Amino acid sequence: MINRITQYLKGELNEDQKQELADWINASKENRRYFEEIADTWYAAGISQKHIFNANEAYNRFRNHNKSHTPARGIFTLLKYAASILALISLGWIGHLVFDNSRIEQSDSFITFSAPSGETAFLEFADQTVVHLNAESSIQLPESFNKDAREVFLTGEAYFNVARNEELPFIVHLDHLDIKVLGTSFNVRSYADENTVETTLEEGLLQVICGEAENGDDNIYFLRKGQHLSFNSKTNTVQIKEENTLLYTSWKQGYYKFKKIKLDQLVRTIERVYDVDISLDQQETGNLTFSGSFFKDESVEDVLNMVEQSALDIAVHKVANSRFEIISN
Amino acid sequence: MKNANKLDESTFAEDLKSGNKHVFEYIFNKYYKALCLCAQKYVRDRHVAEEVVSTVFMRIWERRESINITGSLSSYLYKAVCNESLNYLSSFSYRHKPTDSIYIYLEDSYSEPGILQELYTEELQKKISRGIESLPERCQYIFYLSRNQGLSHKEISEKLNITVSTVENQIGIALHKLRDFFKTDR
Repeated sequence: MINRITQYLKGELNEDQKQELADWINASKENRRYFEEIADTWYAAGISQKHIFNANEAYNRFRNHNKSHTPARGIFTLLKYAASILALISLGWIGHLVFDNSRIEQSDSFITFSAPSGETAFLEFADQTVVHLNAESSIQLPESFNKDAREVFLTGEAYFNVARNEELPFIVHLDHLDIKVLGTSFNVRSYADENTVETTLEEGLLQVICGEAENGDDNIYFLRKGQHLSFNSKTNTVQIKEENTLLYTSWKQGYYKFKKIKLDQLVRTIERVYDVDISLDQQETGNLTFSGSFFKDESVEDVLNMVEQSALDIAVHKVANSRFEIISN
Repeated sequence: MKNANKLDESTFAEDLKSGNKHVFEYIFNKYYKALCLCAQKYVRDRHVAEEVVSTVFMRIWERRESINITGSLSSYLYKAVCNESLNYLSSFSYRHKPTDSIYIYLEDSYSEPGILQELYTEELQKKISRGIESLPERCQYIFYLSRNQGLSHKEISEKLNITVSTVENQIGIALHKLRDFFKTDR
């Protein structure tokens, strides 16, 4: 049973297995206690040597927004204090919107929320649709909404958990394609400096519409739960595969997992997560492939060390504060 | 030795009522981490856990004049945090369970405060570090790879050239030893 519990804690159980585990926990008080103790132990061990749950910082944050009533990060807390912002965006289907850390800009026809390098942001719409914005990403909402759809424009990476509304489909517009859903959770990655647009579906059904097909018609693809679609804008090709969705969605918990990706892409990810600059001395070095994972809590030095140690012939040097160089030997 | 500069907790309820900010800050700092751990067990996301705890503290501060704390302050806080966590989960579960918390499957989702209840901020960190250090070296490393590096059991088995069941056994041993460590020597 300890193995089952560990798997649950690592997020590796499917719904049926979770139900089984729950039945076991429900079966007796002793089981319940055992589960609680193991779970407590697991979570407690996770804060060792890490500066998570920093009470001082939290208190300052708390005191500051108690004092000035300015919005700070928060799902619950903000509801109360973001009144001015709520008024600003109380339009259309949005109604109200809760945000975390994000920067807001208002222009003639759009409101833009963005997360800068090194930070992530969180938005919640009135219909309870939730958006996690990854670093260097922004989402634009039109000022006046179409009555037939909930439409947003995204650059960068975001995880959407869209509240179901069959009357009002939710559409994410990207550079090369559109994603349309009725209600589901999925991840989208579309950074301007990468050649691919990717989307991963956690549950439900998702429709991808690639415009600009040669005959003028749109190419439409449907994704099922657990599928991953990647569109290469250079070659204009689409690839769909089954994939562990955690690989693409765990970033929202500050956990970056990657499998056989090129150093180029890994470096860009690290740059965004930590707001640093990393240069490669040779272009070919960028083609090395890596698999692994890191937590945002780890220092950028530790992460780069790990990169250095897992390849035989590269060395990482710190050139200046938040500037690194990867040199191949 | 425990808490050299400990304030007198028996008057906390009174002090809070009178709006004593120092006492509030002291309580916040003392319980924050442990309460976040408690919330995280339910909500499985540490940012949400922090929000849950902040919400509870905010509510306490706003309603300090009318709040009636019977029994111990720590039990009150734990119960409030568990309830707020469950509120959060239920606000999601009627939609489509995006959360993978096991608590939405449990018959009685509120549980008595667990083994961490008596561990306060300043002791918690040291205690956890001591506990992990007390594990046998190999066990410690495997546990570290699983818990802190987030590797799957299969990845660990490949990395260390051992079987998956050895990995699972070692992690089981680590969790049991740590649990016993937290339980005794409080």
